[in-house]
Amino acid sequence: MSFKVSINKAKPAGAALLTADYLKSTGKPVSWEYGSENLLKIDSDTSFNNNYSICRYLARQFPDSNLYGSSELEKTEVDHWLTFSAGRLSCSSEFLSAIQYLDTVLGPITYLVGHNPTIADFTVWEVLNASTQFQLLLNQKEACVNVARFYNFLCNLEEIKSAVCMLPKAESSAMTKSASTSSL
Amino acid sequence: SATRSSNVTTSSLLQGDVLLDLVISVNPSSPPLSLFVLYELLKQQYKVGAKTYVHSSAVNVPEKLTSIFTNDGTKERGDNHLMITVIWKDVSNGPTLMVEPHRQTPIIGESNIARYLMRLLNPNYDTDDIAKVTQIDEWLDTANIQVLQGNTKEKSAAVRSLNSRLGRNDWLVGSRLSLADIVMWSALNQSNQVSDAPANVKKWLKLCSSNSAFKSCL
Repeated sequence: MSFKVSINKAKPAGAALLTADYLKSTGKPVSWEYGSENLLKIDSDTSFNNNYSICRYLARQFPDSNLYGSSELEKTEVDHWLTFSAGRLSCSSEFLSAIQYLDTVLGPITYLVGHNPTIADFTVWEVLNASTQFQLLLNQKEACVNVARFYNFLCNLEEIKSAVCMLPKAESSAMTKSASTSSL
Repeated sequence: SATRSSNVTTSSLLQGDVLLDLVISVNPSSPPLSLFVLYELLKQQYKVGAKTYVHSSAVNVPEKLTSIFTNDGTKERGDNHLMITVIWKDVSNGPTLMVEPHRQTPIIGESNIARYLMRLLNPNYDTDDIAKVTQIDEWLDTANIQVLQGNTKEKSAAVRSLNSRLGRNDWLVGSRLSLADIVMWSALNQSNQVSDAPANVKKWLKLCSSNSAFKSCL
């Protein structure tokens, strides 16, 4: 069975796009194209529009890719990071504490869970990529070095390179005055 | 689903000799009721030892709650498949689970700990029916983000979509009790959405409460 993911160009489901692209470039029967909505259609009764649901479904469909971790505990660690991405990391009032926590965790490791990319890396990367607060930190060089290393490492990861270019990055240079002075 | 998984006997837990040690820190101001329900289901399948401690940061922990996670298990600690230690303490971002402290990130959030316990109950949880388990995840995220952490508007939006789903179905996903029902039931109870719930939600709450696993924590 092959899977085609539709991606809305104006409001792309970023992590779903990275997941589809990763599976595609590792030889799985997954493809993606721009369409009117973010959509993974399974059959006549079942389809998913939610970014994280598309990630979860595809990662479970190809367990040998390890995109959902390889043990019961690793799978749950992936879920933990999905909750973190959608919650604290996406919440501007909690962003600084969230990014400090992430920086500490990433200190000794390359990937968030296990020893290969998972959808946890993709959801966290997507939030960082679209965050003006993070892009500003990134330009300051010495801020949150481990998160910066993680973010840049994923930007250059061979399997998702083409999808990374498709996703709009938040522009720190175009920051409004109020945003650039807020708590940073 | 929760009911079907009780028939599964091929868990890695039962095959190895390794005792799994779970330490769960919970805040008494918002008791994660779904974990109590899953504990009842785990006890039907495994030998589970449970201990409870109250940390000095936690005040006024009701005795009813501390008594749930207390049993003698089997005589020898090593005879259990699973040891659960519950620590009532003032954790701020939701309940936290540790299994392998040196190798893992602490798992935060009731819905995520519930996912882990479900995976212990059914090692094939993620692969049995991929569409269904992914739909369950959507309800778990709704319970976590909208019902537990959302503002009044988000809470009532979640209850409305719950009510609409339950108009045509007995359960949230599929045709039987699943993790989605257990975690959503818990979230509604914790955020005081039960007494003035709309008709279909009321009917479903009653159906949940008639299940023996829910009764211990009511």
